[in-house]
Amino acid sequence: MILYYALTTYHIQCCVLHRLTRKKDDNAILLLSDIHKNSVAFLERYKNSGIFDDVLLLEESEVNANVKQNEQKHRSKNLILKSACAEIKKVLPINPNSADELYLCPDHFPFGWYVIKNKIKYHCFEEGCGVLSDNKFMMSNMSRNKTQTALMNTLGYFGENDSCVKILADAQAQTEGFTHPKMTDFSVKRILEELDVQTLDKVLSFFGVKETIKANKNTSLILTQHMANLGIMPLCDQHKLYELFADYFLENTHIAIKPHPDDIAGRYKDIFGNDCTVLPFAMPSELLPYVFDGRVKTAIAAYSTAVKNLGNFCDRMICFDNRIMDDFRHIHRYYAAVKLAEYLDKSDSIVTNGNELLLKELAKNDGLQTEFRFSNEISDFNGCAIVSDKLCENRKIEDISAFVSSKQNKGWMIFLNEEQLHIYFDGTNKEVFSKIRPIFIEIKGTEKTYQEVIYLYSEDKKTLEKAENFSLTKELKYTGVTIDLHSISKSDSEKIKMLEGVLEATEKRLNGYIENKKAVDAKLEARGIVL
Amino acid sequence: MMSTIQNTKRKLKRKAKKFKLKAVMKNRFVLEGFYKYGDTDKSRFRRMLYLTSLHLSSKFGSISRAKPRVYERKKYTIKPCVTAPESSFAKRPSPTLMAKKFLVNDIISFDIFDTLILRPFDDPKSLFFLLGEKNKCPGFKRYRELAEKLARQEAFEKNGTYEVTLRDIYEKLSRFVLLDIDKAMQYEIETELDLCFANPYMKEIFLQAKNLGKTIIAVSDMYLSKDVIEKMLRKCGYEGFDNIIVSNEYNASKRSLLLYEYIKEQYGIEKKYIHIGDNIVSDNRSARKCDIEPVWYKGVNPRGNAHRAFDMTSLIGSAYRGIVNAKLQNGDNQYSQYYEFGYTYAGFLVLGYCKFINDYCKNHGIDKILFLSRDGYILKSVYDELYPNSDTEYVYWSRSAATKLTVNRFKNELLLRYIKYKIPRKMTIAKILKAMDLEEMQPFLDEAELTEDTLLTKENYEDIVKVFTAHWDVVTEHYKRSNDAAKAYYKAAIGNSKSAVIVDIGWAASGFSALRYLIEDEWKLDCKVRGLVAGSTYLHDMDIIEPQMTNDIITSYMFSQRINREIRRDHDVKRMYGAFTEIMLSAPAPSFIGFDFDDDGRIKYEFDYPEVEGYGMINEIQDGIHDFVNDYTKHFAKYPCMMNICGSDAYAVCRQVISCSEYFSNLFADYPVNRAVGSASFETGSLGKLIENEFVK
Repeated sequence: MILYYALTTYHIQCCVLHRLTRKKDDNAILLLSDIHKNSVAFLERYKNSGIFDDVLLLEESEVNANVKQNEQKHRSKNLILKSACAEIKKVLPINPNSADELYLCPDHFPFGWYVIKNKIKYHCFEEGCGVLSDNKFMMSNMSRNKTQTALMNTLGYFGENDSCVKILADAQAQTEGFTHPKMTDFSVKRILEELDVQTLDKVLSFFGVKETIKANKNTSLILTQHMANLGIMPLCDQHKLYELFADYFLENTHIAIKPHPDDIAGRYKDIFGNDCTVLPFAMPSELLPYVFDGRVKTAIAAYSTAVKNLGNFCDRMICFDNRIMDDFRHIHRYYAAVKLAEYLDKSDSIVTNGNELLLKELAKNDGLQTEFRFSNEISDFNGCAIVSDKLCENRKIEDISAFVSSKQNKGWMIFLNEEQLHIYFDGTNKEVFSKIRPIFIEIKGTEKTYQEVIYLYSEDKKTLEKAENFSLTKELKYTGVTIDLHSISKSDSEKIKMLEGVLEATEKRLNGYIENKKAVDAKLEARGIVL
Repeated sequence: MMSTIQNTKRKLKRKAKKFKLKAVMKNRFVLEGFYKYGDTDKSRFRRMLYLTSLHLSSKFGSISRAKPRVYERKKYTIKPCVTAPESSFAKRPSPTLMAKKFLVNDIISFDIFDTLILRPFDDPKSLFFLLGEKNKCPGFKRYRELAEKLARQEAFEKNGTYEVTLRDIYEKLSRFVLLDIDKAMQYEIETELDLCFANPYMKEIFLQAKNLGKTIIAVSDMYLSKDVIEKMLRKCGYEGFDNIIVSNEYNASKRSLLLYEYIKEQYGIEKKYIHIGDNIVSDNRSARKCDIEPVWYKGVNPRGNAHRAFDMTSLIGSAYRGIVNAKLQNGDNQYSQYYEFGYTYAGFLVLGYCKFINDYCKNHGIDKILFLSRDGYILKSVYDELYPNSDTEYVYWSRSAATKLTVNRFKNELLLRYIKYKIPRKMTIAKILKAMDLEEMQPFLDEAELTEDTLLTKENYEDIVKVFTAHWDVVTEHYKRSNDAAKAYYKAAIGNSKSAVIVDIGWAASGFSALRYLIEDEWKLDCKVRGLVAGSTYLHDMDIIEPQMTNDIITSYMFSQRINREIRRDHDVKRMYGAFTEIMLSAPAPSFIGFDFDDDGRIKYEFDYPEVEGYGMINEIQDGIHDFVNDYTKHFAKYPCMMNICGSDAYAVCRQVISCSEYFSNLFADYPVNRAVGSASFETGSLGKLIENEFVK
């Protein structure tokens, strides 16, 4: 008998495909963990599919909850492990020793601990496609689970222990040159491609797909992540992220959404309206090419690993990295920067210390192939540059503004000013303002209007004059706002006059501090102390 | 077994609490002794001993036996959240967690009132006050409550259940007052519909259930009909219920379990159910008994009222508490403590004051409102939102500017503020002259052997005054340019107005008095000005603005010699009540110093060193103020009478927080305080230090 243990939807998919292609003649039982609520909700459907001889539910969530309770009581990791294994033994609906072969995915949850601790031989599937060689994101997710992280070295997760015989992983999806002695090739993508129609239908219906969706040249696809579920951001922010994606990248297209299997709370019909297509969340994204009848125009994801499996299914694939989870909040600034850069000069290469992927994709919307080169070195910003406030994370503002003031070429710099740090101004180099033009981003909502500002710096007067005439309006359908980009207007001049007074006072205060510091430094120096 | 032990524990705890309450409320001596002087850090046992000793002293000592009132106890027990934002204590399961729970259940059941739907009152019965007005029936609230009680008793005698309909209640009402029943019922339904609003947290939870395609039902133990409740739900944006089950239509309640049994019968016993509601008995324990997974959503009002001001008028007080509780306790969002300070305390004062200003303007034929900097910044911003067609102006003004601009009249003010009050600061003559911007006085002072380095002392103060008096023409000439600039500025600000009001926070209205003199006498602008202050009291001279108040030139909103004198006595300036109130209305801008002309002949504004450290806090406070005003006015859009917030109500809310110095020393410890305004010192102190100094004194 073959015993499969699976936790996430990807894991269940691996078990299903392994069973259908590699172990079709054996007696097979699927053991599902109730930590994953989808398994509880769709247990009956899984049973009725007939793919496995039996589908059992392991009540592992209570064990997991007790682990967390023990963590709070500051019990030692060994004690927690011992009690978790004892509890697992009590709730096991089937003895893993009775199986001829045991396939585990994953092995870093209490059932996995039990198997490793009791030295039961098993094979494991990799955590996600290509994750065996690149597990940074997964590790950062796992780091929030204290005990799990603490036990990692003791037990050797992800097959890195003596009990694990084989690690089934997609060899082609691994990073270049990666090898592992236990790795056995198991590519979900290729297995799906090779499946006959009948078996494929079986798989699709196992995951609740009842019919195929007609895709045309105008269909776009959003692959969501479960950030709110992971506690990375609140649900409303997650919704906002996808609204902005749709507004900036999927304009005038029919939107289809494939929620991540754990993105149970995402309310996409409410956001994108009833016209959009929302696919079953409990379906693995690898099945997408078989759900759509045709190619989609654009597929977009925040930082999904599943994208790697989509291959030639879409004309344009947009996928960022995990920086997008912060940078999406400043997407209007990025958009304004790209548009301003286009307006000023269709430069082939722009250096940035911001999110170069976001800039690249925004530029691609207009068919531009501008290269956005990432650099954190100030000296690289001597041509055309888009500068993020992140630059001052490990540098003094004085150094940055000194570089800005010393710039002698005919290029320009756009300061995104996300954190309102005004990194071009160190409090003394007032002449910089004569070479700066603010670009206002008026964000007009139904209830409130608010404003963001980016700043253009240039030594070239013509560039500055050109920027003064820059204006653009964009309606964001799903976010429900209109963005109005413009340079300074005459009506603001009075306000500026007032602000000049405020600024003057601020400068005085700053100077006061500087003078004070100088006096203290001098005193210290007189005593022979140099800081 | 476990639940029996838990129940017994709970009962014992409740009894102990009741016993303690009774013991504390024995008489005023015990109450004050226990809360005011009792050390809350002591162990429970030692506190009990202390309470016993208080009882013994009260028994054998010659102590008044006067019984304290409940509000006297609440003065001690109800406190603002000091250590963390109040909203952070409202721990509710996240929408993602609830979605997971819903996924494994078949039927999702919601309680309606205080769960899906909230009302802008901390006690739903407060709504009967408004009905009393509609029915023109004083005492309606009491009658309505008694009628409901009678109707329920009768229903129990007849049917064995307490379930009644609205008509049953109104029929019983005829025992107390003769009203047109249909009309009165319609009023109640109408008012309920007007005032109900969706609980934002529950709305998200509801949408989660809907998104998952679950069967959703709403269940309520209520006397209103299903139709009315359906309308209320629809108004609040809840649509898509499979059924709305109301107790009075089935003669069965959730509390008695019968309603749950009925639901299970209807939808199938094999199905998995989850019920979300606020009542610990009917929504939690009863549901559990019927094998329905309960999710207890403790009501926003029981949670929030532990921190709310209570000594207020019944209707407005209930509305204030209801709105704040709904915002901070619903679980939808967590706010910063500064935002909550603005929302909970400052917003109510600002709203009440703005309405007061508007009424004043209407009654006195005022055509222009001048809000003085900096306290007027937020007042103007809110006022403009509330009354967009009013002619308002935010004008730069400060004590410092006033002192310099009125040297032609108020000579002593300049000498006091810039010289005498600086004696304890041990400043040199040079520094003082710099602060006054009057360096040209130095040669005259030199003649009197008061050199640049001479320290200002009590002894040489009169000598300095003599020099200044002898050369007062130099002083007036020096400030003339500034005076001209101020005149031009105010002429433009007043425009064609013939009757303007100047709004300030308080306390001695010196800013107003100076400006009134300049506008009416010195500049001779054709405009009569009046003044409004939020409160009037002055540490050095209590009667300072008495004549102007008697003359109806200055009016105070919250308290003065003329109104709410007991509040004025309570407003302890020495305990920094005034300073704490000013924080509520602070602006993210530096203090104004004076006017001048620039090289192009345009008016130039001079500011003091900005206390930038506090701007972040102030912006958050102001966001909270705006949101409170928006929420309050939105909820009571159809009930303009609810905007009439009397000064004593506004003060009750302020008092709750300004009397709690721990709140300020915790939240505003780093808040910058420039005590040396106009003394050319860029260094600011912090409120934390100031509190420490003042309270040690």
